[in-house]
Parts: sequence; structure tokens; C-alpha cells
Amino acid sequence: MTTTPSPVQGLHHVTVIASHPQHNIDFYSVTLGQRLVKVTVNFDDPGTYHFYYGDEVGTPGTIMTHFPWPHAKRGTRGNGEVVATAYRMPERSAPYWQARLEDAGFTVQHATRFGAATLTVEDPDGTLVDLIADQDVQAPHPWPNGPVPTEHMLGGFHSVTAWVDDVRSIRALLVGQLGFTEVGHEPDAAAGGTRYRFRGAGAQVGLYVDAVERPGQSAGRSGAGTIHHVALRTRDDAEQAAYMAQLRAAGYAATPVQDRQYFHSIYFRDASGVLFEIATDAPGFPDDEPVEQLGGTLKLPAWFESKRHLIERHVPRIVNREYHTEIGGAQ
Amino acid sequence: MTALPHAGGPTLTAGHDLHDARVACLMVHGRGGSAADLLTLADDLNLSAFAYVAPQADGHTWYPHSFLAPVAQNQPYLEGALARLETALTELAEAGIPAERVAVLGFSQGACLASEFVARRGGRFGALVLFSGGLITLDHTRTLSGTPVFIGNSDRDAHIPLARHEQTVEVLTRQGAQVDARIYPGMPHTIIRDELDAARNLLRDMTFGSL
Repeated sequence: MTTTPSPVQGLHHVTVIASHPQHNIDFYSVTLGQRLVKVTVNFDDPGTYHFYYGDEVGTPGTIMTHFPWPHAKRGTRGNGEVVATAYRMPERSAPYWQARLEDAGFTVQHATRFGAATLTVEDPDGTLVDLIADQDVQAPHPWPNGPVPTEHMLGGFHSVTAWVDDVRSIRALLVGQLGFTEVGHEPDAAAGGTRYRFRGAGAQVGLYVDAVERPGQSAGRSGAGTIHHVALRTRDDAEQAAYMAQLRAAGYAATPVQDRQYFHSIYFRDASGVLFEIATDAPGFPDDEPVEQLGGTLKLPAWFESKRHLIERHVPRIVNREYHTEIGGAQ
Repeated sequence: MTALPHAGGPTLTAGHDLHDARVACLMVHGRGGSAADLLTLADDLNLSAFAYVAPQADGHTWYPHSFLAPVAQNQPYLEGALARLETALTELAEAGIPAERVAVLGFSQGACLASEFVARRGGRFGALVLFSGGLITLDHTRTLSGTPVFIGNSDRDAHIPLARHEQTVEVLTRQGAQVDARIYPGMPHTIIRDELDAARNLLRDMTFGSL
């Protein structure tokens, strides 16, 4: 008999398929001012990078991660996947962000979502990124050396948006299994359906999962610009194990725990098609390099170290704009 | 000249886009199963580097009789099934993924077919993963050049005699495969966690080999 775990706090990270690695770095770390806190490889595919962006230390709830496959074909948005990630934006900063995004060559769409002003752009691979006006948006650990002035800094995640055929399965998962609360719904013209909002049990950062019910709309197809999975946040290994047991008992085919070096993960798919992960807060990104050097060099887990020269030759050359260091593309 | 059985069936895909992937997994479903069912293993394996390709047999079965029946009784279906896998392998090669970066994975009748296909063909495959199955014929001589093989069978499976498991291990080993063979006491005719973990490790090793 396992104990019932405490409710899931909210979002831990979002993982997206990208194409051109440098374009990805330039958009997230320069335009959006998110710190590139870790450069490593996809542990299941050591020939490709895995980039992690977040606040200064990569606090759960601020972590955006990408697999940049240089020649990846574009996917398509559709039902059965998470299609957008929203950052928290200071309420007074909407004009600043609109100008900043337009100056960088992006087209900004405007909407109001549950009463909050929302700016939306497509990143260089076509992934939707929302900036949602909010109060008290300071990130847990703001990045002091970032390119965005302090008063305009984004404060980690607000929410993700999934598109689904039928909201019932995702509601059963979030509310029935994971301790989220349903907070409301409203029509969403842009997505062509009804947007339902679910709130995790945490505070401030990464609280919401939205699901837009779009009956009969076509399913998405994986590729560059599509979101691979969304990770929810649990405190520790014991809680994660309790969730794994509970989810399996409820009929979800949860994977065994996988060591992702900076956190531990289990994965499972909701009947809607959305791939979820439950990830632990520990050990975190400063586990293998100090905070003042995060993201400066290619970090590999111990079990890949012996392959480092092969990996460094295989991954393309990139520049981390914080340190102006080059990584990869070794001759 | 009529087309062989299974030549025109659908092929389902999942995971990484075939044309960007460096590694692939060719999934062969069992009797009464479907490509879509077996593709759900892609979630469980959770290996984002892989393109998964699953051909569908006509009428949900690759051949009508037991794999232990005289081969002639299963023709022309067996011949058509093997040809279908050959076509799938060719399509993967054309997409830039050669056999040494392809894992061939099968369950039950699909495991029998997958092992027969690889043993007949010879050469180095990325991996051969057999869940509850064994070779259809035993007189193979081509080298498998160190192809890693996982084979898991129950000690009491109505479809797969234990003796055939042992013979399969013996033949594939003689052909130069590196065989990880596991017998699971009392396992029903299904795929269990230990087998999936073993398969995942073999597939994960392939992603290094592709560097």
C-alpha cells in the first residue's frame, strides 16, 4: 500500500523539437532573455544537443528545453499535443515586449485570456510562445546578467496549452490523479474551441495547464516546432514513486524512472494523446557546474564521458551568447 | 504474376521523422495483433532518437499455421511476409538508415518472423529483439557479425516450446550474434517489464553506435 502523494505543484519543464540550434539559442536566450543554463545532449540520442533555458539557476517552472535536430522537418500543430508555452510577463511590460519581439522580426498576435492581456509569437521553428500579463511575476531566481532590463524580465512559466478532442480524459488525469483544480473555461477563438484551465497546487510559477477542446479537429504531427512533452513537478523520488504506482493502478502505462541527470523522470500518455512527464525538483542544474558557469560548456553524464570526443565532433558548433564561448563542432 | 501476400498493406510510423532519424525500429506485430498496437511500445521505450516503422499484415496474421508447421503449409504467406520486411528495410536504407542502425523487434508470431528474416538475411543489424518467439527454420549459415539479440520466452508457453527457444539461441549464437537469452518462469504470452528494459538498453546502445 503506497501513500497518496501530495498534489502536483504545476509545471516543471516543457520539451520541444527544434531545428537550427543557434537560431534556437538566439531566440530564447537573447530575445526572450532566458538563461541557457545547461548544454548537454539528448540522453537517448547523444548525437543531438539538449538545451535547457530558465531563470538564473533553472528553477522548476521556468525550464524550457529543446532538442535541436538541425535538418528536422516542420511538424504540424493539432489535437493530442501541447501546442504552446506561456511565460509570465509584468503587466506594464506589454508595449516593451511587443517592440522587442517586432524588432527581432517576429509578428505579435494579441488576445485576452481569462482577463489577462496575452501576446503570442511563433519561435523560429513555429512553436507558439505566449506572454501573459500577470502581477508579481518575478522569477524565483532572476538572471542578473540577462539582456532584458529587470523591470521587464519574464518570470518563468504561466501555463501550457494542450489541444484535445475531448477535455474529459485530461481532466480525469489532472484533477482525478494529480491534484489539480479546475478553475474555469471560456471560448478561445484563435484555437477554435473552449479553453479549460487547471491549476496546480504550487505558488506563483508554472501553475496552469490549459486544454482547448476542439472536437473533430485533426491531430498534430511530430516534427520541428512541436512540443514533445510537458513535465509536471513533484518534490522528490518518493513522491514520484507513489505517483508511478498510483498512475499504473489507474491504467496509465507509466515508464520506469529514468535518470535525466538534473532530475528524475517518469513518462505516461493521456488518452487525449498528450505525453506527460513527472519530474523531481532535485538534483537541479548546479549539480555539475557552478551557478556562475551554467551553460558555458558541453556537460555530459558520467556514462557518456568516454564518448566525449565523438560527441563533440558530431554536434554542430554553437555559441553561448552569455559567455561568447563556442561549443561543439570539434575537428 | 500476382503480388505476394502482405505486399500492399499499410505501414504505420511513430516517433522521430524517418528522414531525419539516424536509427529506426522495425516492429513486427503478432497473430491477431496490429501495427497500431505494437507501436504503443514506442511510448514505453521513450527513445526520442528512433523512427518506429510497423508494417501491417493482411488479415492480422503473417501466415496461417504455427511456425513449427512444415514451411510449405505457410506458403505463400511466409514468403510474402519476409518480402514485406525486406521492402521495409530497403525503404529505411533509402531514407538513410542502413541495417546496422535498424532494430528489428517482434512479438509472438512477429518475433518468429523477425528472427527468421534476420537469420536468413545475415549481416549486422542494430539489434534483434524477440518477445515470445523463435526461429521458423534452423539451417541458417550466414554471419550476423555481432548483431546484439534479446530473446525472452516463458518456460511454459503454449505457442513457443522451450526447446525452440534453446535452438534459436544456439543457431543465432552460431551465426555470430551476441545473444541475451532470458527464460521467465510462468510468464503468460505477453511482454513484461524486464524484457522492455532489456530492449530499451539495446536500442539506446544503438544511438551511440550511430555517432
